[in-house]
Order: sequence, then C-alpha cells, then structure tokens
Amino acid sequence: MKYSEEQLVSRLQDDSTAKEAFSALVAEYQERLYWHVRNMVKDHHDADDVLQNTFLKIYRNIKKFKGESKLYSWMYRIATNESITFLNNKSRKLKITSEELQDQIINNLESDVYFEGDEIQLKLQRAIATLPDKQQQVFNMKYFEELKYREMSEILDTSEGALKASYHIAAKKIEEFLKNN
Amino acid sequence: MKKETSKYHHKPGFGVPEDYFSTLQSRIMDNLENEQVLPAHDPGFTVPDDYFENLHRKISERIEKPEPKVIPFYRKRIWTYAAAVAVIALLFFANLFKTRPVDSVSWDDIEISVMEDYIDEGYDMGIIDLDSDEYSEFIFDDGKLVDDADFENMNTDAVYDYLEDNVDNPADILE
Repeated sequence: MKYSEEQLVSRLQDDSTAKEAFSALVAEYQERLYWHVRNMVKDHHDADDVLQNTFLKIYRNIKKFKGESKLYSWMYRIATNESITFLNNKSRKLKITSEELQDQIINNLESDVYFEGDEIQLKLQRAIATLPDKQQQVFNMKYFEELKYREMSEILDTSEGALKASYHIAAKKIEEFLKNN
Repeated sequence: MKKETSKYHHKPGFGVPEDYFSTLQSRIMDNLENEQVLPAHDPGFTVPDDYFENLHRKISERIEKPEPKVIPFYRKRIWTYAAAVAVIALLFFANLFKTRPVDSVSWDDIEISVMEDYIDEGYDMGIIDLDSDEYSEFIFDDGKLVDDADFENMNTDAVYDYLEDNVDNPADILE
C-alpha cells in the first residue's frame, strides 16, 4: 500500500507502525539517496557506508521531524551532510587536503570494478572534481540526478536563482576543462 | 508606398546589431556544439548485483543492534589524558621558556595532531564509545579537534580553572 507523505511520517513516528513504515521508506528512497551519495563520494563501498548511516540517522531522528520541510528534502539534507562529514573525516585521517582527496578518489576510479564509464565519463569526473564543493553538489544534482531547481532549493536551502547561476558557472567550467584537456 | 508586410515587425523602435540575423544560425550551432562537449547524463557508476535487494536487511540488522551508549566525552579518562598533554605543553612553553612572552602561546604550539591521533587511536580500539556519526560530529567539526580559536590570552590559571571544572578527579592527570 502506498501512503501519502503525511501518512508515512505519521506511521514512522508511531512506535507500533515505525518498522513497517521504515521498510516502505527505504524501498521508496534507497536508490535516489544512494545515487545522491554515490555522486559525492564516488566509491561504492563508501557510498554504502554513508547510505546506511543516513538511513540509521533518519530512523533514529524521525520523531524530531516536524514537517517544516518535505520529507525527501530532509532526508537529502541528512545524506548530503553525511557525505560531507565522511569526506572531511577521510581527508583528515589520510592527512591530506580535500583537493588531494578528490584527486585520489578520481584516480582510484580507473581501477574501480564498479565504475564502467568510458574515457569521456572519467574525464567528466575529473572536471567535476576541480569545482568548489558547492558547485559539485549543484552540478551532480542537476546533471546526473536531474532534480528540479525547486527541489534543490529546498534541499540546499539556497534560492533557485543562485542555484541556476551556480549550475551555469559549473557547466561552463566543465566545458572548458573538457575542451582543454 | 509598400506597407510593411512582416507580421513580426510592428516598429516598436527596437534595433538589432548589424549582421545579427545573418550570424544567428552559426552562433546557435556553436552553442549546440559546446553543449555536446558534455557527455551523457550517466556518471558511469555501477552497483553490485542485488545490492538494493539486500540493503534494507543490512540496515535493519544495524537498527536491531543496541545503540552505542554515548558517554559525555569530557568525563572520559581519554579527555583527562588529552588535557594533561595540553597542560604539560602549556607549562612547557609558558614557564620554561620565559624569554618567550606568555601571550604568544597558542594551540598551534600544542601539537593538536598528537591529541587527535591519540583520540583516533582510542576510538579505533573501542575505548571511546561513540558511533561514527556522533564521533565525527562531536569531535571533528571541520576536520579538526579544536578550531582556529585565538588563545592568546590563555594563561595557566585559566587552564587550571578549566581542568577543575571538567575533570572529576584531578589525580587522574597524574596517572
């Protein structure tokens, strides 16, 4: 049975129906959140860790969700924050800068069994890695995840105009990178 | 006199640059070509077989596990050790080398990385009982144990006051 968002939240917040509702929630959102995380952390195993932590956090904090934003944007925000925290911790543990970590991640893609992109797709990933973090997020969400600016605005708490400008700048930089490399 | 026949031209007073229409087609084609520089909207990533079929089970197993108990970090012995490192380092710089003014002492002098490594080790060995989310949020905001705070006015009295407020048993420092 498919529930409306309000019904789903209400069932998630009710102890007697929480587990069943959570199953429905995972089934509904697992792929979208996975690809959101994967586009940020790139590696499948890292994405799996981050995604599981994201769902655990959602489960444990669902009672704090007051419905002030859409459920999906609240979950996307958690997934985004988890991914950023994961990358920050990784660079700190490896004692390298976030830029060096990005380089390392992209270099690893070449031998990653879960990356089947061709040369141009790999080059695109290299180009994305040169962007500032926020532009990377905006570009990934628009270009690969094909989210609407309205949805991105709710998730990133940024105006649609600023997001459009950010995407335009990111796309231009990427085009330049691809033409020059 | 021949009347203007174009249905698009109602003489609103606007003008266009010279050669605008004669070069329009080539400019559109250039833009299209630029757009084609970007490849298909597919990042090229794949996932293992049955990954999504098994994901819910893996998450459920983690939910069933008892949630790690969060113990206030400042009460843990590990913090006592870290505080001791800080005190020793401060005393070392503030008192032994009098030629250097006290007000120049900063956290940069205290080898924060040593404290971070020590805490990392405690976490890896299970001494610090936090799950990874809490650990990352609690300790390493912005990837550092301590932010770039300005401690120029810190003196040893302040350190002692801090330890007195935060360490249950000061004797622990000497362990």
